[in-house]
Amino acid sequence: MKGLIIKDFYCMKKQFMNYVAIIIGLVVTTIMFVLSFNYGNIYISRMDMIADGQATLADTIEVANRIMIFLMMLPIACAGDLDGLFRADNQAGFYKIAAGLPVTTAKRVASRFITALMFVAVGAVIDIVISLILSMLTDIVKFSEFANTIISFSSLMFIYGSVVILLMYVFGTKVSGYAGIIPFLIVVAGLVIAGFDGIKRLLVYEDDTVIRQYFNSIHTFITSRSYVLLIAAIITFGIIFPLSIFFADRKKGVA
Amino acid sequence: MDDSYVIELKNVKKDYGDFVLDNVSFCVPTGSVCGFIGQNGAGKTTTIQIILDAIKRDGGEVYVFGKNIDDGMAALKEDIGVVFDEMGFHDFLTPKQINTVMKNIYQNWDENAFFDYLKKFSLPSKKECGKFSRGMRMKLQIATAMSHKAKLLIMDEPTSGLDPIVRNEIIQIFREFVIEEDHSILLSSHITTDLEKIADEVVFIDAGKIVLSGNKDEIIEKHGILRCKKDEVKEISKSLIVDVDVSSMGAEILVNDKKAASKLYPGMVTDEAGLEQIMIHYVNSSKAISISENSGR
Repeated sequence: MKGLIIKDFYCMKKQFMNYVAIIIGLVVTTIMFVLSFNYGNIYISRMDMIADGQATLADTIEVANRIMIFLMMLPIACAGDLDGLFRADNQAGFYKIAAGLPVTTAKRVASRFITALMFVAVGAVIDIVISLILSMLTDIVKFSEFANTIISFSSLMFIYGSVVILLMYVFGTKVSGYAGIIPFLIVVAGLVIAGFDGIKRLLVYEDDTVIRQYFNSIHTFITSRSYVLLIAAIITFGIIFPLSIFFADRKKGVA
Repeated sequence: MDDSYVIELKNVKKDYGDFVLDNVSFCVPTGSVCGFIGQNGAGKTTTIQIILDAIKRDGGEVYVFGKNIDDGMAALKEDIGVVFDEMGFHDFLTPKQINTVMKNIYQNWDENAFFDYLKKFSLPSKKECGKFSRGMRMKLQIATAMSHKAKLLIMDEPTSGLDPIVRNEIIQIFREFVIEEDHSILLSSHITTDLEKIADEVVFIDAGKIVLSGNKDEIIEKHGILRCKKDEVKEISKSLIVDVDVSSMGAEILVNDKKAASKLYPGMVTDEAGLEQIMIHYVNSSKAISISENSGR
């Protein structure tokens, strides 16, 4: 099983340079943003806005906080391309080789979940390093907020990855494009359902404060209730893992 | 189950709708090289996939090393090396990386043996295998299949598409492998000349059915090509005839008992038949039977 995980990482090595470029870009952009927020053009603009009464100091810090929190999603989201792994195996005909290996279908499926978890872990570790640097540079975001955010995003990405794995075993690599989109649509649908009241208020009563409230509630949720998503990720894994084994076994481990 | 057989199939069935593997039964004796012959699409790969438990079968039983594969095939694969007609490794992997992957999969993986094979086959260890020629890819697969102390090699068309020199080299490797008493090979191929060089046993499959199986020398010894004039064909006993090929030059008949044919028809020439001729005539014969069955409906 360990060998299969190593093979997956060799597959991802191809994307390594892209990933490094994203991370370097993210770090540089975030640091420049922090510097500009405190001393540069952003500082001048926000001071002007405060002077004109368009915003308060708290408002400008809040916006910067939101931007930095959501930037933390990038390293985790870009860490691994799970449906790409399935496609690569299929293109190479690796399923034939896998059929001859002394590895049970359950272990083959488990190796995919471990790979998914490790991709998320790689992104989380990079996020932790970036958070530590940013916490030292600025007070816009507290480290505790960063930590909660990393747990929230890692849990979300693991849920996403688990759904991708399940869909790959159910529908095969022919629908790999959909396998990436469907979990995303599920998350969007979840957000729409959760914010249905707000959306109604926005559309019917044209109450635009609702957007801010909506993002505030998501932000609060991500930065202070990460345990909910963590529990959701564990429950999702508990359901999807045996289901994936069931479907993979029907196809003898071939996606 | 009988331990004298390394592979045993009993009435194996697989129905794909447009293709049916129909009650396939055969055995591969331990320590032998079994040639699995048949034209493309005859069912060789499907049978091999069933033996490896890579696809679900619709019926029958499969035993490998005397154990039913339904009781757990994964552990048995520690002792099986598999080679396919296509490489199966990702193009960007180097043999060195393949070694790292495999040593973390096989308990008995022998790193030194693998690198020795790479040297022996003149394969670079740090070059991406996507840049290898077809012959090199095949040798890489063979090196991988033979580096975990496998006792059984299962190979699906390992020599197809290779030039005669590389094919000969590969056959030589297989010969060295079966020097060990408990080592066996199931070698599927439609290149019968390769099998004539190495096989002890032959299983011949056509349209999903086993049409002939047994000791290769006995099969060759038993069959013969009887040559006669066109109008003499009707004199030949039907029980001897497998297939008749009539041309302007005369008739060529594959007979299933060469000695009997020589005795019964001393005036006619009875030549030895090679595996290829036997295969072609059996395929023609089954085609003729299916045509006559269809026209009779």
